[in-house]
Amino acid sequence: MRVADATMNIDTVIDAKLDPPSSLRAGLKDAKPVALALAPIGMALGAAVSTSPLAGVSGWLAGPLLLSGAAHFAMISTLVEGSGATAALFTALVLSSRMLLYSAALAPRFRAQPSWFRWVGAHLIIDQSFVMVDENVPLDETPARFRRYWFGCTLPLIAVWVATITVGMAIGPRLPDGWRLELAGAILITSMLRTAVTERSGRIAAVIGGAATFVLAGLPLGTGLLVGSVVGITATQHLVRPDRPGVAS
Amino acid sequence: MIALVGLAAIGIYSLRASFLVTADRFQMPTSWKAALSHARPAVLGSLLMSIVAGGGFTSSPDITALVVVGVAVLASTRLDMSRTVGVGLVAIVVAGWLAG
Repeated sequence: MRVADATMNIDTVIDAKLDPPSSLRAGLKDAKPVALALAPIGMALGAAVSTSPLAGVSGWLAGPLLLSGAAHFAMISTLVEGSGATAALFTALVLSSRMLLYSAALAPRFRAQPSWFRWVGAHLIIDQSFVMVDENVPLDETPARFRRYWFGCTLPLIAVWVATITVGMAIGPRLPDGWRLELAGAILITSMLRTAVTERSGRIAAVIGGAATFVLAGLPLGTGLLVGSVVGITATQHLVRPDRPGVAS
Repeated sequence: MIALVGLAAIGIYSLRASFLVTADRFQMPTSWKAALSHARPAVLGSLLMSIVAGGGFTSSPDITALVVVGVAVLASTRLDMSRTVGVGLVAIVVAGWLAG
């Protein structure tokens, strides 16, 4: 056993003894409002799946395997348009490329984690889990507490996600046409934005990223989302300098 | 279709795991760390505007989306996350009722 591994194991034991499952409870608590908003999105997705070429087992499996409403919706839309499986796959991957950003941003928090968690935990990166961790978990959190929070905030969301997709697939055709359930995503993002823009740098990043994405919305395969995000990050990095008084970076 | 879903799952997992699996060995440049500290607001702003603009989710221009987002923005200035989500969901139901 390497010295680093032994130290990590000792840390884990100490964390487990000193920390009752409060970090797990914190994750569960933070996941509640997110789950509430995810439920109608899952229903809308399930309803869309039920009338698409992905109807059936493959469409349902995509829920827990992709864990990405945007990619799932995009695949369905591409197939419905008749663009073919290759185009659907490429669209889903390009639209999900923001996961690279999340992966890079979360890497420092996973550095001290055991290997199994780095492999398993990676699958649980979704927009909401990234935001919750970035907002609520300090960078110097102990590995064991981070793991408990990570599972606490992600597993309930996945359970709700899969359950509501299933319900949506079952009752989809009976949902009223005027109900825009997918807009719950916009509400969720808006409520999450509130705490992300308390600092000036956050407001600049959100405004520039949002404006760039709006302007670039016509780019093919949903690439405007990734390009807009990168523009927001890069521009904020140049505009906001930590040495300027009154500016938090 | 199963193969399509499987390939998409592998691809998206690869994107998620790209920096995490080697996180114990990968030394991130300082400039990256500073830039990525802006990732959360930038991505959230982008996601929101992609919905409003119709980037893959809805048809454009989307007045209903603008109204629902407007209600959520107003609610979020005064309410916590749970209540903002609740108010927003009510707005969706009302908008659906008015539209239907």
